[in-house]
Amino acid sequence: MEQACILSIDKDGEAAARTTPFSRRPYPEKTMDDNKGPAQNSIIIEGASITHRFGTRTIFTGVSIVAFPGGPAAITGPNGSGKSTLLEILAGLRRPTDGSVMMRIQGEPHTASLERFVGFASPRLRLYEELTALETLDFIAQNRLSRERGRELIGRFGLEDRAHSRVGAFSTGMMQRLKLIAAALNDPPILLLDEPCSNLDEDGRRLVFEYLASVKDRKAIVIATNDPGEADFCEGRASLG
Amino acid sequence: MVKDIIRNMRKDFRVEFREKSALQIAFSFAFIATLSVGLVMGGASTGARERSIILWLIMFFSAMSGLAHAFVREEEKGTALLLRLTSSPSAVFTAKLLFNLAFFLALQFLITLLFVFFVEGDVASPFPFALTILSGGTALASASTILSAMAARAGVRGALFPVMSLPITLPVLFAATGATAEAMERPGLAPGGDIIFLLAFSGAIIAVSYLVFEYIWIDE
Repeated sequence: MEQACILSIDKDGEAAARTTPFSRRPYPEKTMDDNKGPAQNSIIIEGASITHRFGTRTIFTGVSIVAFPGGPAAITGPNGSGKSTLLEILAGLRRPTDGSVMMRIQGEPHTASLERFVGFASPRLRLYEELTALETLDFIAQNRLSRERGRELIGRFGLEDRAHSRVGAFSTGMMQRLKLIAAALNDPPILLLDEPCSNLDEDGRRLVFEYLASVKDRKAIVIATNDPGEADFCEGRASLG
Repeated sequence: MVKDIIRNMRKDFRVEFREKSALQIAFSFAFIATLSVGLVMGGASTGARERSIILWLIMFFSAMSGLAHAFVREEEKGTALLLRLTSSPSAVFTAKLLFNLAFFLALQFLITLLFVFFVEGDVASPFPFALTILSGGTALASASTILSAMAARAGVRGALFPVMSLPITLPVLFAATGATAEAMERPGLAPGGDIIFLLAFSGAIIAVSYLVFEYIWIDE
């Protein structure tokens, strides 16, 4: 695997690539149309020339991104630069003002809904406070295998004692662990994580990094963050704004 | 798709029954409104048309107080994002529609029982009367479901919902009050055109809802 993510930003018509070379390999000159190689055998998510506006305010223009398995990529940028919005657009949760998001399976374009292929966690995501942790996971699980994986992940992320507690009684850190379990529950090939370690203690952060390290070779992972620890964990980095 | 709908409905029933407040408010409103009307009328003699209008006004405002909740709750509590992430728009809409239908039919059952007991003792044609209540309730619940999704996304929510709903549900109220009045006073009545209109209205509004819901549901 060569890299996890290519991000280029063309702001106001001026090409302004602000990517940081991957730690292991130099950043190659490569475009989305030139996306050949080992990653073609897996699921790839592509965002092409994405522009987004809220009313008259332009958040970002001309952002292109390709993510595939091989090593997590970080999107950094100041508050309000649109990191979370870009992640939501990639997850299919928000329509971009301009541009498109597409998934490729074995190199073939796939236009169906992304929900079966994307795991997503974000501070904006809220869980049902009236459901227990296990009921929440059972609601999100797409099949029996996912439900069983939920039981395993709930132990792995240290929530087994609270599996039957209502989510409304959870601390913010426990809630964050449950969100991450929910993101990983259906074993999606694409993980889009917005500040995955927010509200977590040291033990929680370690569990997250351990989990991500264990799946990074088979999942495309994109992390929106300003946390130095999270950004350092990633092998590629690009800045918005 | 069917599994998705069942999964969403199970979640909706669990959340609503555990939260309780919304259900309690809707049922309390229906109970108090019907009881108040019954007590205020105090056995006064009124025509079938007037009684029918009163019945459907109670139904309409009960629908306004209860049916917006399904989508408004998702937006207010921030769980809409999780729904968008885990279910297709059509599964979300179908589950909410079925939940609203079940909820409103239960509410209608309570209102009709109380109304017959406190206001109108005799219904000349019970079968057309029951069919009108059911088909009118289906039409109100169908229209309210898509309108509540729009109101929830618009952000004005509670205040906007009845304002948006009235022009759309006015034909339902006209047809339902006419058919109910007839069923109350004319014995041996066969189910008629008003019931067919109410069912056709429900079918049309559900079809349009499926076409537009994705555009309402996904953020710009």
